[in-house]
Amino acid sequence: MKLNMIDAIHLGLQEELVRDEKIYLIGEDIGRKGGAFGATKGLQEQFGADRVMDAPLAESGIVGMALGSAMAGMRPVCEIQFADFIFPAFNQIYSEVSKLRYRTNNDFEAPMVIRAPYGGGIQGGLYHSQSIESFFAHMPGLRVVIPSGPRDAKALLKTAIRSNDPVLFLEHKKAYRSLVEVVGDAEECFPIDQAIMKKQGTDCLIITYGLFVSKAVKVAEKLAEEGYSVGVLDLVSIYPLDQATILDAAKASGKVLLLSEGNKEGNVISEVAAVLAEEILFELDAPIKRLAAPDVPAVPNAKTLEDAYLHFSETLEEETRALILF
Amino acid sequence: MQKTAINYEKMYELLILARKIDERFWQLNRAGEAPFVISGKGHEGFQVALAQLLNQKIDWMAPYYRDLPLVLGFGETPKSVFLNLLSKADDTNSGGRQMAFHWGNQANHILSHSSPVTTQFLHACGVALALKKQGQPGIVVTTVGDGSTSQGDFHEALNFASVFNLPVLFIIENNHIAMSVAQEDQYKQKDFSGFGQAYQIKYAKIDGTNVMSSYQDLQKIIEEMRAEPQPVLVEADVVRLTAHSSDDDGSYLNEQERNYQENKDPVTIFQQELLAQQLLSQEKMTEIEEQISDLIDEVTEEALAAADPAADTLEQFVYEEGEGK
Ligand SMILES: Cc1ncc(C[n+]2csc(CCOP(=O)(O)OP(=O)(O)O)c2C)c(N)n1
Repeated sequence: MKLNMIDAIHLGLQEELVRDEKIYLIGEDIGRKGGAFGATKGLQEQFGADRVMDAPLAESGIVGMALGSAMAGMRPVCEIQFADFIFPAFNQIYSEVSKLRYRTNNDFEAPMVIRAPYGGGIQGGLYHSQSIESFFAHMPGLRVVIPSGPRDAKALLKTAIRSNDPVLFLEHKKAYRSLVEVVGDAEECFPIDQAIMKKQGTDCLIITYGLFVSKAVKVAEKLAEEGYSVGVLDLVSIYPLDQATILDAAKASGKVLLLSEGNKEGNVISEVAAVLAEEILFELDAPIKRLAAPDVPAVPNAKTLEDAYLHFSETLEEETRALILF
Repeated sequence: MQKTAINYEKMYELLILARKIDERFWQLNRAGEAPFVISGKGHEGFQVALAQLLNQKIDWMAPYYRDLPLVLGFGETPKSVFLNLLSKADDTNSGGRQMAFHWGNQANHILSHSSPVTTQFLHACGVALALKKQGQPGIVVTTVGDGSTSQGDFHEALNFASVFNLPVLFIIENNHIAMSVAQEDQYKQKDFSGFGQAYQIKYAKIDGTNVMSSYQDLQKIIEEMRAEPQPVLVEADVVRLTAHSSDDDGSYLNEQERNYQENKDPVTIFQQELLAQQLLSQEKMTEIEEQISDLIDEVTEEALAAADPAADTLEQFVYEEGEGK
């Protein structure tokens, strides 16, 4: 069955709700509206208001209450309407959700998922466009997972829901409807702690995640026509990083370009660069290249400014070629 | 509903146990054995009563740091609270990972809480939601200090409990001070009844220093909650008979604040009432006190001799084990 990413996520949620009575969904406008992007459309009708719950407009409340229910045997899947609005819940996620297992010496656990749409390029302005993953990539105990397409999204979301650890699951808004592919069956689950080699390559490796994976694959295909062999590694797990796969892939190509939509300084790709520098610096044939957003507070609304913000990603092809020729 | 006879002796035992453990904790702190003490001294009255009224098999609690009497009445043993104080390996709350007085023990239906205040209010809502979804009976009790009512989570929790009609007993332990900041600099309300009204949930104010009246007031509230599951907000008027914690000397308190607090010691009040109403004899009280003192000497020794957490367990239990990084 061919689906776009939002429909794949919808199907994944539906299949999991059928599979396990302990799972319930909670978020703003996810009930009769079916969510801001339609991820839960029709699910309240199908499963009832107890299992697909519209919450009052309070993110700390959503996450905090979900955590309490997880401590008492439920498996909540929270939807934060836009990732930009997750910050009222930052304390619950950082101080409570991520630390519960550790601080109780394994007595309690927090089997819960927090889904949130992120990313720009949709003229959403400052607060409907942000890439917020780096803030959450510093919380041992929490997993941060970002799928790059419909099939992965469904198969990763299922693993996240079945995991006994908390997962922040970030979905790029622009990937929701722009990518279409065949998705797996109800039992297809992909590991949430492993990076995925999307394309092998020996001249250069692009490491990225989310929406940019498909972009990187296109660039690699284009450069293949010129005779260059470019690999693409999808991080999948933004935290913790799958260091073994990252290092193996980088060694195989010798040159690494890192790509992220977040602000450049303090970005998760900087952590990848640090791992590479620390472990295999002398096996690399060129300096590590980072392509990321300029260090301005957020994505502005006007098309001209938004394009300027995202311009770095348009340079991927030439930057990759330049790195190959370095 | 059939009322069981009130067990005054049991409540007196718990009150004295909590008070004497508290006193020993401070001694251990001064002796350099315990790095940190934060005390429930003055908050014990309603906690002792509440512990009798809950049913640990079906009820849950999400306490805060002043709730030593409450957790002692909800399955924590004298030994376990000493192990917690000293951050020992066998501390059932966190295996020595958290600061002392940060409770949490699944077997006892006590939720784990952190240091940022008031987050547990939402966790209590979550447990109540889970009980509702699972069709289970039981209520969830959660507590917080009066200063902590300024936090957003306090208001989100009351609103969520109201909207989803969750059987949570929210208790504000009002000692009229938040660390050093006086009540009038913390909030302008005379009491918290306005929050009950705002969130459309029942509100009651009780004298939290008085075991007997607390028992009667809470019994009525809890019976109502069991008959018809719903949230209730209780303001328990209590006193803080110590400084904020062992890291504070309380020197900022004025004369009036000091006198007010000292005249409302829950132990003295309960003793006087028990004697006046001839519910417990002086001899029995003395016997209980002596037994508890002996017990505390014993567990102090055991806890001091207990093993510290092994350094090589530092990286354990970040994620479900076996999965790991
Ligand atoms: C979010 C947060 N801010 C600050 C603190 C530091 N702190 C710990 S207890 C406390 C005062 C709490 O007062 P109150 O809520 O009245 O409770 P009480 O200690 O009087 O029982 C403060 C400021 C904290 N633990 N959490």
